[in-house]
Amino acid sequence: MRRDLLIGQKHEVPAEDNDTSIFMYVLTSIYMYLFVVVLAIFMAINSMAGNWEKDITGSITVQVSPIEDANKHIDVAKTKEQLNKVEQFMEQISGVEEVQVLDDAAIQKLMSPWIGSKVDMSTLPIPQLLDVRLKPDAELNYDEITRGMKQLTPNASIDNHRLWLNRLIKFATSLKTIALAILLMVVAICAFSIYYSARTSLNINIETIKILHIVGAKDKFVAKLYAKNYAKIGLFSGIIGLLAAVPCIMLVGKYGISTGSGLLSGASLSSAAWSVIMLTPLFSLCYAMFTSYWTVRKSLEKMV
Amino acid sequence: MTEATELPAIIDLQNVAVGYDGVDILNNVQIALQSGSFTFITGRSGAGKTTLLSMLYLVKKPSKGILKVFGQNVNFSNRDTLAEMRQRIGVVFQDFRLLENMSVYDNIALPLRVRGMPEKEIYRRVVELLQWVELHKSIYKQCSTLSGGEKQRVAIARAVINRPDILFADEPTGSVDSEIANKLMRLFVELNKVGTTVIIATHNEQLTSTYNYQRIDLHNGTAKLYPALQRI
Ligand SMILES: Nc1ncnc2c1ncn2[C@@H]1O[C@H](COP(=O)(O)OP(=O)(O)O)[C@@H](O)[C@H]1O
Ligand SMILES: [Mg+2]
Repeated sequence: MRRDLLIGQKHEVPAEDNDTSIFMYVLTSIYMYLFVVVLAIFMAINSMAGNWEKDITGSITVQVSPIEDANKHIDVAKTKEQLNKVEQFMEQISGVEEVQVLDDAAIQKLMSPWIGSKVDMSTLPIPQLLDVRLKPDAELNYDEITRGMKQLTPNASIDNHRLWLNRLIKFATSLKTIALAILLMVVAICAFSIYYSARTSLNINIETIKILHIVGAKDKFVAKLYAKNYAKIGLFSGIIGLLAAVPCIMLVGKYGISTGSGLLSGASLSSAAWSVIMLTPLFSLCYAMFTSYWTVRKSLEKMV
Repeated sequence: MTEATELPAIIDLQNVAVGYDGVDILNNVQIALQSGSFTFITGRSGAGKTTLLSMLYLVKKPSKGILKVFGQNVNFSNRDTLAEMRQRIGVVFQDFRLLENMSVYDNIALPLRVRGMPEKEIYRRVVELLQWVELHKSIYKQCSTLSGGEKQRVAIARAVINRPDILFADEPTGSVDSEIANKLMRLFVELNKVGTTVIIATHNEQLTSTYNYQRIDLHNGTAKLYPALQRI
């Protein structure tokens, strides 16, 4: 089978660059494999970070440990004072909608499974809790808040889990940025390859191009011949890349989930993400088609 | 400039210069050719016949002056407009410039395919024309296998398949014997009679004296139009 870059249907227009063409099929297949794998990684991290995000939006809990006096008794007044300070501090943070001190009754309700309901809460070393409701889409700088709070009192803290998740989300965001950069790079390299191979093909076929020009071919006629062939290359490489990438993605997915980590299980791909992955051959078809079309139009203006 | 009473020229050169890499081969060319005319372009080898011709079939641009073809100023025409103008032009090159690895059929079909004509109509036209140039038996032969004379006939067929308004031929009798040369000339005359403007570049003195048409003579870097009958 002939797979020339210029030839359309059988012998519509001849071309002499079979080798370049085969090279392009191989090259773009590899690019598309890379593209699909990195795309899957990107979307997996995205959904994972999204799950974490859900955990830390809405509201956070701040606890203030009771302050003890010299006799190891709880200094109720001082604790109350600290609690009020922390409450005021939290209220002035932008992104915070409302701060509510959980009263003893509420804490008792929370604790009753463990201590029953007939205990005087104020005598127990139980931390005081602040329920901090956040505005929708609020992004808090937890490190800064923690620092500010520690200056008020060493006894106050945001719950650990939340802080930790927040750092993980930051990490995931930088991973996402890297993945995105790789995706863009693959797309850019692909464009360059198509550009240079189309240019090369035009140069090899310059005599044919000149004859087409003389018999009245418009630039878009020649560009369409190329676009048709690069569309084929794009579709074919997209499918090959996809077929090679899907087993890899599934393998990694299976491994990630079988670690049993509750965190990683959030990394599974949604059906929407799978649809995006399945659509990549279509994307590469269009991408190769438009890039080659544009390349030929631009080149012809300088060549003939 | 043409007078208002005259027919508008199909090709109009106003103070035109043309050359290569900033060096003009021809200067101050001031010639108008009427639609339906038959013109020779004469001059010694190297005088600039091929150069002038390639400007007229819109592959080279004039370096100075105004060139109008079909009444359109070439300098102000965009690429698509120029392509449309080329579709109304047929060219027979000295070296034929066929697509050697394609069949006779595909070569002749090329100008029609470029215009997006349906394949059925293309087939009808090509077969009809192949009979006229007596190549119907070679329709699916690859061009590289043809003789020089056969190639020339394919080149002519490709040039006229579009029923062009202007037909250019560069030294068409250069590589054939006088009998075939006469046959070719009768073919061009025939096309001219049905309205095609014919322009032939040649250094063959015998040809220009046998066929009495107007001629553009290239000499000392400029061009001068001599009417038929009136000889220098
Ligand atoms: N592509 C080119 N680049 C530079 N000079 C050229 C080119 N083609 C032709 N010439 C020069 O232009 C002059 C006219 O050439 P040409 O038009 O081919 O003459 P003719 O067809 O009358 O023999 C010659 O001096 C030739 O050397
Ligand atoms: Mg010449």
